[in-house]
Amino acid sequence: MNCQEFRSLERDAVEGRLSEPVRDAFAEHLGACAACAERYRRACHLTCREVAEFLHDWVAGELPPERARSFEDHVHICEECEVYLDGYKKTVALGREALTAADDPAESAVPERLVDAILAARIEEERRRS
Amino acid sequence: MDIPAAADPGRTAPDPLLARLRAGEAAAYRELVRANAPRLQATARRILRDEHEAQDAVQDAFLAAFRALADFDGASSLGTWLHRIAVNAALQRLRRRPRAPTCSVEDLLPAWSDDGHHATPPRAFAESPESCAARAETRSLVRAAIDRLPDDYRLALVLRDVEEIPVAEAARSLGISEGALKVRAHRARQALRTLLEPHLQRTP
Repeated sequence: MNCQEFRSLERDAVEGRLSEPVRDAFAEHLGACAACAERYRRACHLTCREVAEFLHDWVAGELPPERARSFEDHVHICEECEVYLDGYKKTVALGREALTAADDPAESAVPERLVDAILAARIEEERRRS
Repeated sequence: MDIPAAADPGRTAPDPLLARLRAGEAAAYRELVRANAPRLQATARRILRDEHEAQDAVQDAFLAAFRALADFDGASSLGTWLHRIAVNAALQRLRRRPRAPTCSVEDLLPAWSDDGHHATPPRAFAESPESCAARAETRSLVRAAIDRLPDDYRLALVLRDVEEIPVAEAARSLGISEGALKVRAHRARQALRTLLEPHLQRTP
């Protein structure tokens, strides 16, 4: 098994979905390849709960590089976190769209009398000051 | 009212309108109000969710801006500067309101098992619908869900994700630390995700 195959099987390994011969080959690579072992260990080290706490900073690109790597490694092997992250990102986009789209009542026109009232209030204020 | 000195690195030339405003040209004031009032009103409505109060906040904001015009340092565009003033004017009105009882955000956050796994597997969201009608329907669903968020969380979400106010400034406007603001915005997104999930989940 090479590193690429190992990586593609990580999620199934975590979920216990590997058949026995594949599981053995997976374990063999894990024991032989320090780089894969290190990444796999990092991914398993974080809990889903910790991943959820890092979401905000990860989305903002503010997570320190080391932690961002663990976060991404975890999401790579964890289907639930991937699904959660995707829904989180969609939620942010939907919220923005919902409150700024043209059919939002908040975007309707400004009445001319408001414009007039603001300008009249300015003149009134200047008059009082002078 | 807190008049922010917002930095806007994208800005280049000084606004020619500024000189006319400082010279006291009445037409310039009308131009400024006409050009900016719709956006400021939308912002104030999003914060206050009340038409009349939003209009009052817009008026507060313009008058505060006119008073501070001499001190405007051009570090941001006039539009950005007015927007921040309007946010603060709306927040100030919101603070004067008696606080309505709200639900707890805790009930809308993901639940965890003892070993840190999701207690209930999160469900995948469907891709956004293509048709206009379906998109409009989704938007009204999302608006209703945002309205269900406790006010402190709704505000954090509106200021960060909709008004796109930088963390430091939004925190200052709400009178909380930057860390607290980030936590609130994150909790608000999580709570909104929970509220939307049953309606927007991918159908198998």
